[in-house]
Amino acid sequence: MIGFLKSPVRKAAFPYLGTAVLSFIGITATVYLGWQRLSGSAFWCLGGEGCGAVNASPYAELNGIPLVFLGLSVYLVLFILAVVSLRLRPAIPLVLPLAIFGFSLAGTLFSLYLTWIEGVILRAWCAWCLVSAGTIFGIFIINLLGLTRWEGESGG
Amino acid sequence: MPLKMSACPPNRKLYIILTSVLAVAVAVTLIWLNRPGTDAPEPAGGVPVEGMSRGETGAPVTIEVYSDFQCPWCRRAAQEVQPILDERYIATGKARMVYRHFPFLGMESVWAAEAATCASNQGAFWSYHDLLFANQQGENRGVFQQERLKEFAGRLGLERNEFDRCLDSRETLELVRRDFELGKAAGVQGTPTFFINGKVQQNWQPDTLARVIESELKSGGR
Repeated sequence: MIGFLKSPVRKAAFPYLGTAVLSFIGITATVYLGWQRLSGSAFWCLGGEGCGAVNASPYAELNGIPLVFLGLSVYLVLFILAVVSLRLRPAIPLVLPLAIFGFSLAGTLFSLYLTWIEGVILRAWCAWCLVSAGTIFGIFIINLLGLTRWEGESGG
Repeated sequence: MPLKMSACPPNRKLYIILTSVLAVAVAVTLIWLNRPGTDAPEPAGGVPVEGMSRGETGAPVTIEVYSDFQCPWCRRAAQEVQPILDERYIATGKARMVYRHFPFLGMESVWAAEAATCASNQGAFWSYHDLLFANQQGENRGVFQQERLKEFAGRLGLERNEFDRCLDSRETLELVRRDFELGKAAGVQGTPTFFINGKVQQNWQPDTLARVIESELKSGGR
């Protein structure tokens, strides 16, 4: 079973290129939010003052760690995995697309929860957080398709 | 574009399913960890809190403070005097502090008092109290209008539907009015006014209050 994870399969570039681009957008959004949080300055927030309210709420932390730094870490990992996968093309060990898929699925589910918190509990929308949610959802979709369709067709 | 799971070799399907299960487990764990504790007493300077009081119920000394959320001196008392009392007397079980509403500076004072009582219904009076004083910006300038008060509740992670219902229905106005009438009957003419075991204190400097509290403790409290 473990050997299968390492077995190289020919992969289309699109899921990894897409992951790298979207991760970069996610990194940009989370770096901005993280910088605002550390500096304590006012948020530039599309469509209102929601970013400040959302990021000052108790939901913006996980055991004392700001969620924005958790998000940044995930995007950095996804970006590195995507770049490594692109470098290894066309023979990419299955563990790499699986890792991207797993991170993006967990991220998508957690982002859905956070978006629900914004809309229902906090009644405040943070545009940067929504950008991040859309980004991780995009990464999840293209990697789901990558694993099940394109890669299934081209190799494996 | 239909998914072609059939194109996946069986081992890959298995790995996708296993990875999905693991990812869902991670997401559920993160969501569980992210929920703010609603049952636990709120962390108010490390002292036990209950509704609009802080400290042990059976403490020998009771400090009552009549206050208005728009009053700058009340803000100073909350931010500078209260932490000292917390550390010396309330955290040590020697005294208990009770907040009383005395909103006399206008409608935004009344709305803020009502909102703080709504927050109290969700066990978050003192967090809300601290947030109101931290956002105080003068009298009746719109800072404590109802929409802002609701936003403050959201910032603290309070259940918004319940908070909004409470504030819109004005169900806490009667409690606010009761505090105000109690204060007037006790001779309160301005804020903040401190009472220690029922005796009014004109000087609320920490050292003065400490002397009175020590005297009450020596005489055995109430």
